Amino acid sequence: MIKLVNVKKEYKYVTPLKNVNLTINDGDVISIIGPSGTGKSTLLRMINLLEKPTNGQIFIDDDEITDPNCNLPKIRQKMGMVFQFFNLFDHLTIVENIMIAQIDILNKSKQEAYEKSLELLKLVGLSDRKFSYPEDLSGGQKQRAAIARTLATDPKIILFDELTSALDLTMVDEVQSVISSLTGLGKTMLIVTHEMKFARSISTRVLYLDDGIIYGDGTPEEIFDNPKDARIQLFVHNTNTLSVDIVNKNFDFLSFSTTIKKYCNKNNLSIKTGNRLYLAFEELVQQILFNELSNPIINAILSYDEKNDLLEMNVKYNYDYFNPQESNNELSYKVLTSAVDEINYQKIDENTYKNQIKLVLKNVN
Amino acid sequence: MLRKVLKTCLVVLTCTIAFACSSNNKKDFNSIKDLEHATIGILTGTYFDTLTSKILPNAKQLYFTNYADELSALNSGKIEAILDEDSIMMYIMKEQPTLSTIDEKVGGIDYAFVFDKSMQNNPLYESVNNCIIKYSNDGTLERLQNKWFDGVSEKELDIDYTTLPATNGTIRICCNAELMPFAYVYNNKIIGFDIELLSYICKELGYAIALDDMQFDALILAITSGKYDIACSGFSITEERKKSVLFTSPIYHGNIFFYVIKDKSSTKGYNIVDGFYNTFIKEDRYLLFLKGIFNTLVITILSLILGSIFGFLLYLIYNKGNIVFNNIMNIVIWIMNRLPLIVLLMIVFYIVFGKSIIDGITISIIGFTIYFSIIVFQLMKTGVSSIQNGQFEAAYTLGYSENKALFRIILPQVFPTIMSDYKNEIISLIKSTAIVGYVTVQDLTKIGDIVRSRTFESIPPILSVAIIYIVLAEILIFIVNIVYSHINPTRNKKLLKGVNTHD
Repeated sequence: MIKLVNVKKEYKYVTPLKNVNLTINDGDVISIIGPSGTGKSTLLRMINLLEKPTNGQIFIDDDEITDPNCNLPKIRQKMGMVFQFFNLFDHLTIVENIMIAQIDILNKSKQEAYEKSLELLKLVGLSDRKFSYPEDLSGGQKQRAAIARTLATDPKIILFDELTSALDLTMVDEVQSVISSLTGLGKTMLIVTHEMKFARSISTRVLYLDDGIIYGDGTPEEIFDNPKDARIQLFVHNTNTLSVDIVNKNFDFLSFSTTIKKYCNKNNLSIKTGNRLYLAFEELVQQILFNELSNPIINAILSYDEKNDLLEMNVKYNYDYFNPQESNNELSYKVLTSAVDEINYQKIDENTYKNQIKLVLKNVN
Repeated sequence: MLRKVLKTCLVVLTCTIAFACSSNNKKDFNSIKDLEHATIGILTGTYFDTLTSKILPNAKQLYFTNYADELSALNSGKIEAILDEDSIMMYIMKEQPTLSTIDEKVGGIDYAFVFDKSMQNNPLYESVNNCIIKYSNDGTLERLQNKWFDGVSEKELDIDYTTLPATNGTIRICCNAELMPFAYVYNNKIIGFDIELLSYICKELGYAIALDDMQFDALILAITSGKYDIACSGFSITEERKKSVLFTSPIYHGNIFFYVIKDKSSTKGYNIVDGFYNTFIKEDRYLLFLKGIFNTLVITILSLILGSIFGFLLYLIYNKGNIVFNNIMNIVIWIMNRLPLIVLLMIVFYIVFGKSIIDGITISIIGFTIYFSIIVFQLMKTGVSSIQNGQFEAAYTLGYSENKALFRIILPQVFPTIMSDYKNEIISLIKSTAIVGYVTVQDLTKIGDIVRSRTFESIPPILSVAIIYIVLAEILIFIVNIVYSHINPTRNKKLLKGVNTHD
């Protein structure tokens, strides 16, 4: 059991955690979600005292880890942590990385440690890389090795700190599936993540942290489907919005296509959906609007409706009322309509923008 | 047309340069007047510079720390004359017959022993002084003067100063054994006029002698700091010096002349074989060099080992994060980084251990151990800080204590990164030990100076010393490499040794 009592973390200019009271039961698999920079990692790192709280107490079972006289290494042994940037020991082979703590901390013999390491490597699917050095592994492989290292000391509690944020798209799945396979081991797990789908599928409990305060604490259904707090609603529905302004015809389409891919990755949307959206965007802006508008001023907002699994793009632009449907470029308009599932034009009356066009795509895997 | 003019100019220019050069070489100096615009060599620590400015206000002066360098400069034409006193030059002229005097006496100079000013009314000073006056009256002084000031360096002392009985105690004497005939090394022993006269005096007064050899410029500091009682080795009495130290009655009067190269054509070609014979074989001087190498190595190796250990320990304490200790440490490092090594050594020798009788080698080892600990400490600090914080955090979360994480996880990654800097520091350490001559240690460099002061040969001793330093440094690095390859913590798959990996 982990218990946080009136925990607060304060720096000179920011207060990542305001006042947190929390009890975590053995066997809980908890996802901690919330906007970036709101203290999720701080909360996690405080549980094993990598960050010292400014105020408050933290108990791991019956031991108070915030007590200056506690046996910190001993208490930390109960907990493992997997880091965003892996932190494998660079001077050791993968198998040695997994062996060393068993030998140094659990006083196992080298042979015992080696046997156990092989088992763990098998579990994370890295048996064939046991004698490689960390630098020779891909990001996903490193993260799996780091998970195996954490498991080597048999911790009751495992803390996962944004462990897929530093990974390429293609490697996220392999790491997530390893973690999913761990849920059956009965360990307490705390996972800080931006992957909502993953959080929903893996956890028994979800914490929503915003602005240093826990606003939501419940089952995935409670948080994702029926959020009570307005912030959570906003966050869950528009997990993230992406806004882009185009003020001349030199817009960098290539870099925007990467931005869209990243956005899709973050929100667990398929690459296919992302590509369709980009195609639609390119036809609309480059082929139709740039042709029609001599001095284009365009704003596009991308948002994801998680509940309905819909990707939406709202494009607003200047010029006196122009519906792309009336464009001379019929071919481009055809491509545009075929790329999206829904297209909606309306006249608006804002200072700059006179037109609004809404593109909606259903996420397809 | 233009080309012709240019050609003519070029020819004229070349001729002028050639003429200027040759005229420079052929100039003969027969009187002091000829030296009006010449460059004069002066030994540092003498008052000959003020004398030169008085006689030849337009002449340039170049300073030298020893006669061997001064002579090389004279022979190579860097300077045109040397101003010095005849008792020493007598010996030099024997080695180099092309050297001659300009027969106009420039001045006279009195030599004496030197005490600290505070000894004015001290019975020791008075009894030494009375002794000198007595010897000058009973003819002993004259007999000794005749014995030593004859241009012959191969001599024996009447009295063995090392075995004088300490009836009334021991007198600590410091000298610079590079000044014939006052104090110099012959047959690997320090002898000379000053040494013999002091032996007579101490024998009469019932004192034993503790004699140390050091750099000339350190002698005054050595007595004012109270570490030594008497300084000797051709100290001339000058008004300026009188202000800071106390002179005894004069023990010798010398005459000052300008010395020039008279007959360039008769200079015999330099014989390198003779040079090496004089440097190493004559008077078994190789024994001196062996002693110098031994001293250099002892200082280097001990401060290397002790410095590494202390530096490492300092880092461990620093790592514990005691604010008071760390602030003191930061201040010490701040000072050390700004302090020339020689000054540090002088502070340790004359101030910290001013009154104690710890010998120069120990002092040097202490000084260089401090110096090297700071270096190792700083290497450790930068080495550890170059390791990403994540490595510490990963170790802590696995249950490592701070110490265990440092030793098992961090240091094995730090050592390889600092190793090349560490080796460079070892090389720089052995080079830095060349200054220990200031604190009475006869190391390799000092031995080179001592030998040069006897042979007035420049090239063989300097070259040999250079080569020996290079060889010593290489040997040290070789040994360090061997040691390191045994403990090499990088990628040695140590954890897998003895593990059965075939299952």
